[in-house]
Amino acid sequence: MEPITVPVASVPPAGLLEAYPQRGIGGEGGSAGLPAPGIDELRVGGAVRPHWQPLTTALDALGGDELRVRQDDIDRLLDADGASYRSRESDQPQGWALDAIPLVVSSEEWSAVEAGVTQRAVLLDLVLRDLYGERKLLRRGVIPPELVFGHAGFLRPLDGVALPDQSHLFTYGVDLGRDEAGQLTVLADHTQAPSGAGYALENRMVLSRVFPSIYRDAQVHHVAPYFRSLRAGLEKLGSYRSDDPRVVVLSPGPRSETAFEHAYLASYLGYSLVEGDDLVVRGGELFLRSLGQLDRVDVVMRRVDADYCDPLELRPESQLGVPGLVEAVRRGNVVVVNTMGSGVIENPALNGFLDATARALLGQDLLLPVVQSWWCGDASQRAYVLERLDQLVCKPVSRQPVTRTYFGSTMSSADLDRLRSMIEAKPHRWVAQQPLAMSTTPTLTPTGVEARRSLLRTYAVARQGSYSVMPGGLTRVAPDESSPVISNQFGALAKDTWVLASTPQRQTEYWLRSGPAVHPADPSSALSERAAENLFWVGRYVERAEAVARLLRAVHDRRNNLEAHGNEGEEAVASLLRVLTFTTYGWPGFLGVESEQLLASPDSELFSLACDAGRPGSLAYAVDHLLRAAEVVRDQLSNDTWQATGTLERQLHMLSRTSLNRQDVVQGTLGTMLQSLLAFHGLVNESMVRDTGWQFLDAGRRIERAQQLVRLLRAALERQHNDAAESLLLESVLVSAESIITYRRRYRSRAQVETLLDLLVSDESNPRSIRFQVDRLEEALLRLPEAPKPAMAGGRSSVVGIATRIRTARFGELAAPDADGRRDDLVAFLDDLEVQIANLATELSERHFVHLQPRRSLIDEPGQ
Amino acid sequence: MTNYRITHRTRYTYDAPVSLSYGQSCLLPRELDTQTCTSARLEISPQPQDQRERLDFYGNRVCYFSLDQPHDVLEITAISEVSVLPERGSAPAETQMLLGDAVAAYGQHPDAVHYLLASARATADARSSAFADDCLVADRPMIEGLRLLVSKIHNSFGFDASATTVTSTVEDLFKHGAGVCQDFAHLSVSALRAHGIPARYVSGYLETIPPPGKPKLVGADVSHAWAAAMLPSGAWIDLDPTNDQFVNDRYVTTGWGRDYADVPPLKGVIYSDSRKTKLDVSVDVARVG
Repeated sequence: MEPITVPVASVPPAGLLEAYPQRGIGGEGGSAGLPAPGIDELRVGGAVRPHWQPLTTALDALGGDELRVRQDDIDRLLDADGASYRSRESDQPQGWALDAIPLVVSSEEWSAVEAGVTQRAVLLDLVLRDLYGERKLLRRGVIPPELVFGHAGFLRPLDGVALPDQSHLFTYGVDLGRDEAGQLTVLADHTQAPSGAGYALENRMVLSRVFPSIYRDAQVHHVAPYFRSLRAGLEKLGSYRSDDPRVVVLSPGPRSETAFEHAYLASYLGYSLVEGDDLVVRGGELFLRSLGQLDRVDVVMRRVDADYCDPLELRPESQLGVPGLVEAVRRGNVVVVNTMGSGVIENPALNGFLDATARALLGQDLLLPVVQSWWCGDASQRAYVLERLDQLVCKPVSRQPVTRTYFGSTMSSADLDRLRSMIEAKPHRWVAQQPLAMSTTPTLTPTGVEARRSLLRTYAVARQGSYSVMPGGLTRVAPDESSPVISNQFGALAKDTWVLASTPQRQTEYWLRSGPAVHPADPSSALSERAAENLFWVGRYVERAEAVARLLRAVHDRRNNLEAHGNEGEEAVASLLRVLTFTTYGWPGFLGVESEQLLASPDSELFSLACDAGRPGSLAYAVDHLLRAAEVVRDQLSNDTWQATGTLERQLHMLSRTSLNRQDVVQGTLGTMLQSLLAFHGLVNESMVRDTGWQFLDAGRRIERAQQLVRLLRAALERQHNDAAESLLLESVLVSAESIITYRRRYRSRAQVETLLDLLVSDESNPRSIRFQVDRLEEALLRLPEAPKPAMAGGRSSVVGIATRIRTARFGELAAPDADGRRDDLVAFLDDLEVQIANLATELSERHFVHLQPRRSLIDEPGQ
Repeated sequence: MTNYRITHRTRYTYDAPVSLSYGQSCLLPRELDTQTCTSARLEISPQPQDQRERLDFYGNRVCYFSLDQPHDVLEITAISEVSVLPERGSAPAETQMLLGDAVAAYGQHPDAVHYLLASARATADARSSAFADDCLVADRPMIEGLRLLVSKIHNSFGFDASATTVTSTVEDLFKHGAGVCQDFAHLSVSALRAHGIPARYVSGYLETIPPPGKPKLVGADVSHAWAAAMLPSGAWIDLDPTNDQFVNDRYVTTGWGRDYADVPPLKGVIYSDSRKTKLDVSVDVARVG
């Protein structure tokens, strides 16, 4: 490759990495009872390893300040993609944190890793088949039966369920760390539903954008071919059932830890993201409940732990699975990968027996070294472990909802005694490991480039009888110098993994493929009812949030200009406040018996209507619910949309932390929030295909905008005010309805109720009029698929009814107040419109969003 | 040879319609050396849209069924004809082996290990273990130890169907001092495992004999459960702590597993707004021919 030449003069006096690794733990003794770290990835002795040379040269040329700028770019890009991780303790998702400096692995070393990981995957696949088949390994004494029969991942209902000629272990993840000598060593296997490959992809996407030339010049292996193999493998599994197999990604839902990754992978691979309730088993086959029709599913890539996948045959309390799924799999009507039951080989105690297994099944020795392990089910190994508890790392053989790992060297003697008695009570459930030294790798921290312990997880996917290994993976570094655990649960930082290629990397496989044209999937059938319903609510909440924000801003503007208008100004403000209570359903508020007091000092009520996310009708509530609904349909929205929701999330957070005396902050945030909501609208209009999902989103927006307008007009025009106050009020209404400019241009004169009604109710060309919403709604309803339930009053005919009412209304008469200054006819007209629109919304929901009834288990009576 | 005709009817009555229902039964008798099943069928009403029988991990005859038409009542009836051989219950010679020798003889045979490990409902806990300490003594012949354990359970606890549900644990049995067959079977299994003897939970029926001079009432029988201990040869000996005896030709076996959770006669998942389900079970074990 072409060397990166750097003019000598531009190198800063102390290069960025020149001092590394004098800071941090590199070279010093271990802290907190941990073993001293092993080698450093970057330097051996004083010298930079050759395969790091191009990167360090490039980074030194960049300089520390620029590196920090790039780190900010990384943070911003991740944020824009909505990349997040949810720890079990926290309710809020945390932003995904990626370090600017990748881990570099040489081409030669990776060849060995690739061969070792492939061999291990092949071996574990054979073990998995045997354990759910003949169980020769147990009968011949190669693997102790306790490790299988006593393991929570061994699922008896799956016994004897075989895939035709496919690998049973479809995807495999393996954690690798370095021993003292620097040899990459297996620390843990992941076979249940390996996570992190999607994050590795996101890391690569972001880093290659932030360092385009460094990335290109470094000749880094692409990771995309891994995902093409994944897709090819899934299609192959489905090809036994269908020429055009339907694959779905089964997720526990948006509250799960790696929800981002589920949606990211589903949309990258082009498959539907589903939850258990989106699926149903009928006649022993699996179907996706898709807007009233049932679409057969051929392959499920599951991210739900197997024991939660079927409440009939597995955990009865699970709400995440599909009853009958195991039976459908048993009959060969659907393939679930990884096979339910694959969790049995995710067992650290197996390591003590895999050498013998490899010799028995493959006639080979294991290529990759494995961390030294002792299984406590064996009396002599247990004795060894109990003597050295304070030096070893202990863990249960089965992964549990929260698996604790016990680092003996960091434990008090009382805690060690407790651990000892736990092991002695159920010894076969425990395994101990030699702590691994692990290597350190340069990591950008607020104080400089420091040495942190790192761990690499890489992946393999079954392909044509063997495995394709991802050239790279997810590298994670410890959150600080002393932490023994490197896990996202405990704040680890991610790194991209650059496996160097010996030749420049070209893309060798493309999306384009030869052969007959593939028919596009029916757009409506790819959409689950849950997704459709959430898109509808995304539309409603984004519109509701906008309406509340606009009205709040109009109130603040009026109040800020009080002096200019004297008493009339006060009256207009009071009217606007009443309108606010009415449109936000915020009774009693400014309309209740004690409203006089509240009108005199409205700050706290205004504050609550903006910031109180627990109050239905408030701005914060609408934005919060918008974000929740959007999270469910993440895979349906474009990547850029996440930038808008990310901003909204931060603004919402800011509102929630603002105090009452900071109205300035509230007002400022109202403005920026409005911008984000408009950005969201724009992205929806410009980036979303006009498919069924978009029609639902748009229908939601139109219904909500029409409703908001009707209520705004109803509350503002109910009774007449004196000319000056009414003029100010009408102006604010037009501002809130984003039609003031048009109105001024068209009518030039002072505001009048009749012309205002013309513009805001019946004008077909004003995108802010009720008529406009009704027309769009009619279009949307025409494009929606046949409703599963027979039409009730008939959605389209009610839209036409509303349009007729508007067309035939006489606004001159409606606008005229009666002798008491009331506009009762107008109120009756608007109330009727509101009821019609509300009925339409209900009807649309009931016809298209068929909810499953609650699910529960049936039990039997005890015998006697 | 004794012939039985067994009718086991279960009726679920819901207080609101059920739109979807999935079930699995374990109600049909197994084929054994000591038991031949001449006919067995499952009648489900309303008619399921899908129904299939298979053998499970343990070789039990289980049946999967699903209904996707709304219904308020679900009735499952198992009707079987079974012949049971009389020699059942006569203990093989190896039951004379000393308990200590037997425990040492199981080795690492996968089946022995499988049934020795604690399961969710038969946990081989310290209390079950201590309960059996004076029965399962190492220098006592196995058959005698088992005999003592069965009697001790029978004599230590009352029979009380109100004290227990299908989800009761061995701990509940100790707490209430009373239970039903399922609880006694779980305690037996738990205690045997704690003492190194592989044990399983067995589900089936027992022919009841009416009091002298009274006619036998149809439908008054119940499903029953007991325990079985593995012998070093891999053979099993069945023991019924509820009735203080070893199992004989008045017993019919439907299934076995590690504990109740592996062999419930019926289990299911329904989709419904229904909150209450009325459950009626009737069992009839009639001697025929």
